[in-house]
Amino acid sequence: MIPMLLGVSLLAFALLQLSPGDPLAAQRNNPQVPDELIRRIERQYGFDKPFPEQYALWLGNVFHGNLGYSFKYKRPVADVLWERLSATLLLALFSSGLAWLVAVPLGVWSALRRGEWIDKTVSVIAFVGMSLPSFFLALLLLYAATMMPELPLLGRLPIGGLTSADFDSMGWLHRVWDVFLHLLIPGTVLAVGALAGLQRIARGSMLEVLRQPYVIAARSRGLSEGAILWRHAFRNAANPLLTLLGFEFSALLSGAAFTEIITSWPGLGLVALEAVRAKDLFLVMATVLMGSLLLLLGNLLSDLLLAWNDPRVKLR
Amino acid sequence: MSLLDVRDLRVSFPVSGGLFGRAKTWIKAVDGINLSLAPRQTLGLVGESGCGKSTTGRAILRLLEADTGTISVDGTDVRALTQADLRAFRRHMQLVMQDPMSALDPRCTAFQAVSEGLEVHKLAPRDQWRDRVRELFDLVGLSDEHLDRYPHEFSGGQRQRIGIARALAVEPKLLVLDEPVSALDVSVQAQIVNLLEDIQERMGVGYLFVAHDLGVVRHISHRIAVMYLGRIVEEGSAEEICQSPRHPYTQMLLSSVPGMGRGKKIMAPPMGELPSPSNPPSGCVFHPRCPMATGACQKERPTLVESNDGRRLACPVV
Ligand SMILES: Nc1ncnc2c1ncn2[C@@H]1O[C@H](COP(=O)(O)OP(=O)(O)O)[C@@H](O)[C@H]1O
Ligand SMILES: [Mg+2]
Repeated sequence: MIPMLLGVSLLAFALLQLSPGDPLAAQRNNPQVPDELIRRIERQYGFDKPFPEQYALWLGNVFHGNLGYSFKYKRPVADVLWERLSATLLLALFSSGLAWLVAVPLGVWSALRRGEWIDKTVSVIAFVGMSLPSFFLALLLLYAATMMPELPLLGRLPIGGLTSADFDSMGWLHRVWDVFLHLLIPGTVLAVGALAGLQRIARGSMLEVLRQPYVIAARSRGLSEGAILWRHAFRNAANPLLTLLGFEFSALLSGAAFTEIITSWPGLGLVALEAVRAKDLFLVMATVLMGSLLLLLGNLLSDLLLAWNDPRVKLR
Repeated sequence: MSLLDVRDLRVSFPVSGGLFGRAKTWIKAVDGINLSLAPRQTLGLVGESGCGKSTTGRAILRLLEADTGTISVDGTDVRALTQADLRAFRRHMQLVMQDPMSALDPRCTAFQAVSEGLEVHKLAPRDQWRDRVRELFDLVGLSDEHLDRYPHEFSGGQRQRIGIARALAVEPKLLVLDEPVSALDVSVQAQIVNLLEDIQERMGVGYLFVAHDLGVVRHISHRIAVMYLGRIVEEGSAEEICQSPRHPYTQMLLSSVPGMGRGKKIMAPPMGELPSPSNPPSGCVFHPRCPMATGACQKERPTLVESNDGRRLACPVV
C-alpha cells in the first residue's frame, strides 16, 4: 500500500513538473505582491530547487501531516481537501445507496421470475441504462430540471452546487432537504451508471444460489418461498455483491469526477480539475493521494464486509 | 395400505437445442414407472447415474412437478395438494441429499439447520428446540459440542448425519434418501447405512433408498427396483434381485459389484454408455447394450409383468 502511494505520487509530481505553467502565476502577475515575497515563497516550498529535492521536501511535509498550501484558494490544502472530500463521499454514498436500493431487489426479482416477461423487461432497461453515457444523462437531467415546470414536493431542482445560496439561514432539517435536492441529479446520474451491472450480478448470484441443494432441501422441509429467499438464498447470494460494494464505491469515487464536473458538484473531481488547470501543485498532489487512498479503502471495505458475512471467518 | 404408491409416473424436461435455443425437445427422465413401499420398510431404487432416480425422488416429494401419474404418500394424493397443504404435508416426507456439503446452508449452524423443521411445522416451543435437537444428535451419533458449529467444520460423514437429523426432526413417515452415501468414503458408507437401519428400527420410518450401486442397498432394502433410462426393468425382494437376477441389466449391475454375482451366471460389466434419454432406443431401451437381444427387442417395448412369486420383470427373453 505504501509503495503504491509513493509510486503514484512520484509519477504525478513528475508529470506536473513536466507540464507547462507556474503555480505562482497569479501572484507574479499581481503588482500588489512584492517580488521579495514571491522569492520567499519559492524558497519555502523549494520551487527554486531541482525536482528530486522538491519532491523530497513535499514528501517530508506530508509525513508530518502538512499537505501544503493552495495558491488558488489561498487556504491550507488540508482545509480545501476536507471540504471537497466530504462532498464527494456524500455523493458516492448517496448514489451507491440509491443504486443498491434499486438494483438488488430488481436483481432478486428477475432471478425469481427468470425468463418471464418481467425479467426480460428489466434486462432491457438495465442494458439501456448501462449504455447511456453518463455525461449525456447528466446533460439530459440538467436540461429537464431547467425546462420542467415545478415538480410536486421537490419544487425546482437545483442544477449545480452542494447547497442553496440561503443555506446558512436554514434550520437543520431544511438544510438536509436542501442538500438532498442538490444530490438528486448527480446522484441519479452515478446510480444509473452502476445500476445495470449490479442488477446483473444480483440476478446471477441469486440464480446460482437458488439451484443449490440446500435451497431445495429447505423447500423440502416445508419452508415458505419467502423464508427460503431471506434465510437461505439471499444471505448466500450477497457474497459477490459485497465484494462489489467496496469496488463499486471506489469506482464511483473516480467515476464521480466526471459527473461532478458536468453537474458542478463541488467534490474532489471538480477541485482536482480546477487545481490542475491552475497548476496548484500541492492541491493536485493531495487529490491524487486522496484518490488512491480511497481506492485502497474501498478494497479494504470489501474485505471487511466479506469477512463479516462469512461464517468461516468469524471475528471471535 | 402402502406408505408410498406411485402409479405411471412420468416426468420430462424441456431441453432447448438448435440455433438460438428455439427447437424444444423433451427428455423423458421418468417414463412411466410404478413403485410401492410398505410402511417401515425400505425400497431400494438402483440404476446407473442419469437413469432418472433423483428425478423420481424429487417428483415424489413434489420438488418438481410430474407430467402425469399418481403419487400417494401415506394415503394422501401428493399431486393433488394445494401449495399451502403441500407445505404442511412436507413434514411427512423428507429428503436426504447426495452431497452433504452443498445440502447444508454454509451460513447455518448444525443446530439452526436441524431446528428449522421444528419451527416451520411448530412441533415444539422455542425453548425446547435445543433439547429436541440434542436428542436428534444423539440419535444420529453426534454430540452436544457439534450443535453450534458450521458445516465447514464437519467431516463428510458428520455432515450427512446432520442431514439425516434435519430430515428426522419433523418425524416423517417417508424418507427419500437420494444416494445418501455415494459421496462418502467407503469406510464411512457402512456406518451411515447401519445408522439408517437402526433409525428405521427405532422410528419406523419408511425409506426410498436411491443408489447407483446394488451393493449399497442390498442389505438395507426389503425390496429393490432396478431402473434403466426412466423405466423400471425389474423389481423384487432384495434377496431375489441379488441372488437370482433375471433381467440382463440387473445381472450386469450385479456383476459390477465386487464380491457379488460370483458363482452365478456372470455377465460382462455394463458395456457402452447409457443412451441419451432425449433420444431413447426403440423397443426395449436396453437392447443396444443387451447380449441377449433379439430382433423383437428392437421393435417392441416390453411391459413390466408380475409373475406369481411377486417379482416384476420387463424382459420377454429370459
Ligand atoms: N432440471 C433438469 N433439466 C433438464 N434435464 C434434467 C434435469 N434434471 C435431470 N435431467 C435429466 O434427466 C435425466 C435423469 O436425471 P437424474 O434423475 O438426475 O438421474 P440420476 O439421479 O439417476 O442420476 C438425465 O438425463 C438428466 O440429464
Ligand atoms: Mg441422482
